[in-house]
Amino acid sequence: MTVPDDLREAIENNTMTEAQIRQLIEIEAGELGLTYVEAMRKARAGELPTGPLGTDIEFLAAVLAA
Amino acid sequence: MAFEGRTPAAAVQLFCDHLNRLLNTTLTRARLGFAGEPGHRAVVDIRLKEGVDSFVGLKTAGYGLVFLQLAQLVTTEAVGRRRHQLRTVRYRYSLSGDPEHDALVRWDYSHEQEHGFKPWCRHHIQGSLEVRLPGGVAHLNEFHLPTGYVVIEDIVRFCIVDLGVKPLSQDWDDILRESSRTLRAGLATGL
Repeated sequence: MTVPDDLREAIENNTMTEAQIRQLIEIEAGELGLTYVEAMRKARAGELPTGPLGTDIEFLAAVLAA
Repeated sequence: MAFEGRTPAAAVQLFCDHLNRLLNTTLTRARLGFAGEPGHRAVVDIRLKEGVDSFVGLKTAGYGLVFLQLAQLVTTEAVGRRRHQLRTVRYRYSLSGDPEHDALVRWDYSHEQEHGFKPWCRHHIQGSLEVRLPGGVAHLNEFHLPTGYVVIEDIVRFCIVDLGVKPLSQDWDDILRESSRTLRAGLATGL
């Protein structure tokens, strides 16, 4: 998984912005062969794989939905 | 001990710090972090420094490498004028053979019945494991087997005792017991 340095730094410092959360979702979705939009739709429908990558997207999507 | 702070972020950080001390003295050097605005919602989960993976590989005794994920969706509530108390609204702990595929087993909890889904038990266990029933073979994912509220200490204990993951300290059992008492007393879980 290729992650830009600024995103990596924000993750390490617990300072991710909403835009960076979206960016991370997009990167993780790519690992599952999905686009951001597809991943968000599947997250809302509970259709993502329940392994660590899918769960991370699902939980991050829940943060954005708040 | 309640997980409270003067700001929502401070309460979440306190929770993370507690769990990191626990994990780093029992099971793994991986660290938990959080993303999001804690006043609304934040996800607390494993964030490896050498990558952004939200899971950690654990070497088991005889079962190969499994990938552990510990994730909680938390929020904070104002208590009085200057304190904010942590609340867990969802958790998912999972063990997978492959991070990209469905978990072998996972422990799920949601504080609220999720809209659009059947009213299954909100604390349950699922997974891709096969279950042999008198009439045939099913998968654990077809059911929502009820559990109690599962704390992270329970998962750490399972990994060490049942999967044979080598603990990081000799007094891991005492550490888990003490931490479990703290967490159960401190979390406003809304059971």
